[in-house]
Amino acid sequence: MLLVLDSNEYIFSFGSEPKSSCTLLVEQILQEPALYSLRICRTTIEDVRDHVSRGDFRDFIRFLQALDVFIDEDELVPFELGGKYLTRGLKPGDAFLAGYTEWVGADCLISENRKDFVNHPRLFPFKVRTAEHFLEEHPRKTT
Amino acid sequence: MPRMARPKSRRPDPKKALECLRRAQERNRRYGGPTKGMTEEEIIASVKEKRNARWEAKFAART
Repeated sequence: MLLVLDSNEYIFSFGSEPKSSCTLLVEQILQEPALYSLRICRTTIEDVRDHVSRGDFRDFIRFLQALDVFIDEDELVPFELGGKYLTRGLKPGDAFLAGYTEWVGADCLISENRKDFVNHPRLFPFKVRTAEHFLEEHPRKTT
Repeated sequence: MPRMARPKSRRPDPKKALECLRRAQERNRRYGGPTKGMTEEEIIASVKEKRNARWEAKFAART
């Protein structure tokens, strides 16, 4: 299952105000690497950089490297995809992230931003979930 | 799925990735960070504000 995590998921995992559902989500992804794969864009990297300490950002980059998550440059994403979501009423940054998620063909965008993403599932061709809802739908497999 | 040139893939190392997460969590317990004391809503709003500011300029340049 291909996932795109909004920057708030990483910030609530690697930052100084942790949210347990976001941390549990990251841990679940780590526990089942054959089941989940991540994609991330440059914009999300910049969001995280702006909201965590330098040391935490360094660990965040090492985290991505350890999982072999390649960073997609924003310029690769067709402009029209973001523009489509702009016309649907999203703000520019959110429109880009939605366009990026569609472009990579992700199954699900996970975000704590209910106002712009989670509360408007019909706007998107992919699932949008909070970490908590995703974990409810995909409980950890016990071995 | 878009096709593009990507670096040669390495085998993912979830154990090492978890170590990175734990190290960041421990650092935050000791020293805090730029979002210390902010509510969840404030952090989400801050991310949105900065991201939208960057992308407003990019979209404006393309339209």
